[in-house]
Amino acid sequence: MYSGASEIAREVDAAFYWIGGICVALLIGITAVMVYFVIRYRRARSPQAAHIEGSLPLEIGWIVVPTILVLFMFFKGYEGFKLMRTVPEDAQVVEVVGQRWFWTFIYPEQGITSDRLYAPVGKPMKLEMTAPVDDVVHSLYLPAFRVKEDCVPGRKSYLWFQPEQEGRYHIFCAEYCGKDHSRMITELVVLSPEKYQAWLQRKVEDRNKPVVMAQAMDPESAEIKERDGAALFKTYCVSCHGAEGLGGLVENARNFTSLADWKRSPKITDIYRTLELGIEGTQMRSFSNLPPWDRFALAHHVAAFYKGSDRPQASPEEVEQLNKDFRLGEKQEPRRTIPIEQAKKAYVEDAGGG
Amino acid sequence: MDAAAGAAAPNYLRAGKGLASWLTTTDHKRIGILYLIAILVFFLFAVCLGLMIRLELFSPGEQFVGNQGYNRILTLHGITMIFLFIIPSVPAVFGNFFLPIQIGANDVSFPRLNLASWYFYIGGGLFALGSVILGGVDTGWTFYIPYSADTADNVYLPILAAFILGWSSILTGLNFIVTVHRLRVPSMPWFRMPLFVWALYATSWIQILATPVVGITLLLILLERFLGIGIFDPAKEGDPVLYQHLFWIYSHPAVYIMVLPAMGIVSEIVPVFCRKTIFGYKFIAISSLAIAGIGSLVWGHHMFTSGMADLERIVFSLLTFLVAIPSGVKVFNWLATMYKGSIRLATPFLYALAFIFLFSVGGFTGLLQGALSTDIHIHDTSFIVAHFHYTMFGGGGVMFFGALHYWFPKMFGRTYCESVARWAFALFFVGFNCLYFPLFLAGLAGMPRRYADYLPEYLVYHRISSIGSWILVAGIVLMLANLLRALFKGERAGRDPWGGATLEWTVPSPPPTHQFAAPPVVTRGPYEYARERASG
Ligand code: HEC
Ligand code: HEM
Ligand SMILES: [Cu+2]
Ligand SMILES: [Cu+2]
Repeated sequence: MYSGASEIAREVDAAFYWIGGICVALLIGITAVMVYFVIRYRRARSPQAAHIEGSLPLEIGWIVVPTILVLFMFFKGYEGFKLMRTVPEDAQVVEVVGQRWFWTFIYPEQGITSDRLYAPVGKPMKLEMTAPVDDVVHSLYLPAFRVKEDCVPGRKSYLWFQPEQEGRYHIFCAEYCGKDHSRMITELVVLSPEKYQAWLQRKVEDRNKPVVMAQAMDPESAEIKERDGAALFKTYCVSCHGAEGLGGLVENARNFTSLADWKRSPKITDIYRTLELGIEGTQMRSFSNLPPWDRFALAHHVAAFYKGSDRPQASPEEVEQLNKDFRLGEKQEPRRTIPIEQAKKAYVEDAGGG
Repeated sequence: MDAAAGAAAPNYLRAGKGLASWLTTTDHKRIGILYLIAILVFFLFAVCLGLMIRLELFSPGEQFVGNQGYNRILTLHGITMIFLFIIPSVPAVFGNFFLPIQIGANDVSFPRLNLASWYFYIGGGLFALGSVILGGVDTGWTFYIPYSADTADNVYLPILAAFILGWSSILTGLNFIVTVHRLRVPSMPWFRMPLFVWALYATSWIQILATPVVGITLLLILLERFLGIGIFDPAKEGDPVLYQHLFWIYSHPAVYIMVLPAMGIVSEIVPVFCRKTIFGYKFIAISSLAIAGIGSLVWGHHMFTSGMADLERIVFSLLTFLVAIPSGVKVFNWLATMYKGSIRLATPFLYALAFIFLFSVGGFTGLLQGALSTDIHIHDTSFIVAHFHYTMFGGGGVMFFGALHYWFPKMFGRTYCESVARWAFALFFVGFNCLYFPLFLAGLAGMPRRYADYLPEYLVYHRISSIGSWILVAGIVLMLANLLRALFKGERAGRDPWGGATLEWTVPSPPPTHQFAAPPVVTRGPYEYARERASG
């Protein structure tokens, strides 16, 4: 087992030792008695069995004593549970959305999102969790902190923990959610309060940075190269479109190596549109919570899957239209809070951060 | 005492010839054999799937099936083991065969309904196999909504399979209840019934009360999937957690359908091989009913992290602990029965001992899952996988094989090779623990269940577990080969090879079609060996 990383973890471990200890003792006792009887009363040594039909005091004894023991165990379990459900007043809220097959962590005060959970040492963190109504049940599991709670579509749930040490900890999806359930893994990154503030700062700036269309449309520009489109694609897209961009890992997921069957088109501007809006009624959702620059990097990565030279290019008018439609050239206003409704539609970001 | 007059009558195996005589039989013993064959076939099929799971998990990364393939194999393994093996196993095979004999009847109350149950069973099995042919299903055996309403796979096939199998189970349960009430010989009052009959009686009540719930729930999935009625769909103000409640209202009591009959067999075997009457007969009998009763109120312990209200979780946790008490009562009474016995360590008794140990491991680890704070950590990890294999396989499964060894001479009139049976048992027992025990540790370390892949830090647990699966399967193969050989080459068995005192040991081996020419007169309790000796 991981050594306990928080007060909850220590409380739960204590319950494990108490309950587990009693159980192991009883198991050893039962087994030892059984083996002893089998040896002591084997036919060779005990040719004639005694006639005993039962004993009321014994029966009462092994009803009453175990009852007391299990009530004690119940109480031990209840203690830790109470702690798990009592969130400190000063906890920082992070909203969590579980989706097939990735996690989105939304920091509502800063209006930023991340695909990893960042937390400062010593601060109680409250996770408010849900899943989009058109998704399935997931469960956020932080083994090192002994906490877990389901993300149920259309419902809210919560858990809390308080990290005590800098470090990285696994986050698993513990509720079966289909094909890539076993890959729905991310991490909790615990930083010192200063580093955590610096991380938040960087995320906010990134989020707000206005888009310069000329650079955004140029796959060779420094801005695009700096964001690793391949890494972003690996984080968010491969579970449906595949590492080779061949698609088909879920129903209809587009094959990017071909020009056929596109709903919008393989132009950078249209891919961007898809990432902003999603495709109604399909598993292809909006990724509008990624910073705009990241979305352009992704679009270039997607477009590059087609190796032919006849890929349609966006006209200057289309580029301008995109700019106007989403007001990309303006400073992106930080969102003070993201209502959970919006969060359900929102998808995520951060492959390079931290 | 010897009521089986028809010594000259052909035994039930020879009573009619040809496949048709078997497929149209209404003899409860032949129906038991039909079940035995079908259930073993499905069991071996699912064992192969289990081996595939373990091979895939031998190393981290993809071995030979991708994620989707793994999920489908896992689902089929679970569905087959639960609905086609462990739920029907003991009642359908040994219940059918021995319940009427043990209460002095010539058949169950509704013999034709009994045959119909078998056909339902086969029908359900074919639907399950059909889902394989059509590409498999990836929902897990629990069919959780919304996933099961959403996946592209043919979910309706295994759902119909489970639905039809539910009918088979309900009809068998109904038949047993009526049989126990109506066909028990007058000289056998309730508290002279063998404990196996008590256990089946309690189980049958669960079967007829709980199974309809899951039947309806499964149909609701289909309505949701094909008509989009929306009771479970959050987009239409439905609630996915409601599904989980409905599912577990059946499926938790179902674990007692799996294990109560097995406990009944332990209560038969222990006194026979100790030559000593069972300790605390009434307490064991009533604890079966108590388990069936309390066990129906604890389903919420499967949902401690599903977002139920905190108070609900606390109440379900408390109730869950209470159900441990009657199970404990049984174990203590079995141990007390061994005290001052005259123990013969034959193979069936070894299985009974294995049951007590393995089921205790499963039960005690169950307490860690019943406690709230600890369950939240181990819920949906491989700890649970280990726990339910210890209870269902170590409990129900082990006693299925224990019963097969105990009653084999009676059913087929032949005895098997005792030393090979012991070797097979040893392999089975060692392999079992090697396969499942490491999964407890992996679960404590945070390894989630239903993972087609895992982080390298969990390698050692999975390695040992996979090796254990080979040992276990070697044991199963050796055991079945030994029995198969005995079927043709075994020595003839007498009427009462173990010295049992229940009624099945008073009729010839194998019994004739009508085992009792006249209703037997029961003059003593089912486990009274001492007095038997005293009265000469
Ligand atoms: C949950 C599965 C899933 C994920 C994750 C996913 N997609 Fe898709 N994507 C789809 C499906 C399904 C379609 C086809 C929808 C349709 O037209 O039926 C699609 C279509 C597309 C299209 C084609 C649009 C058009 O004009 O036809 C693009 C471009 C695209 N996805 C890009 C991405 C990118 C980039 C990512 C990662 C940020 C991504 N997708 C992540 C499922 C997914
Ligand atoms: C050779 C014997 C067996 C092997 C090797 C085996 C192996 C496994 C493994 C490794 C898993 C967990 C996979 C995961 O969670 O990722 C599993 C799941 C399961 N097994 Fe077995 N098992 C065997 C026998 C049985 C028996 C006898 C039963 C029933 C009595 C059973 C019932 C189940 C069920 C219900 C599941 C859960 C399926 C699900 O999650 O949907 N297994 N098995
Ligand atoms: Cu998952
Ligand atoms: Cu349960």
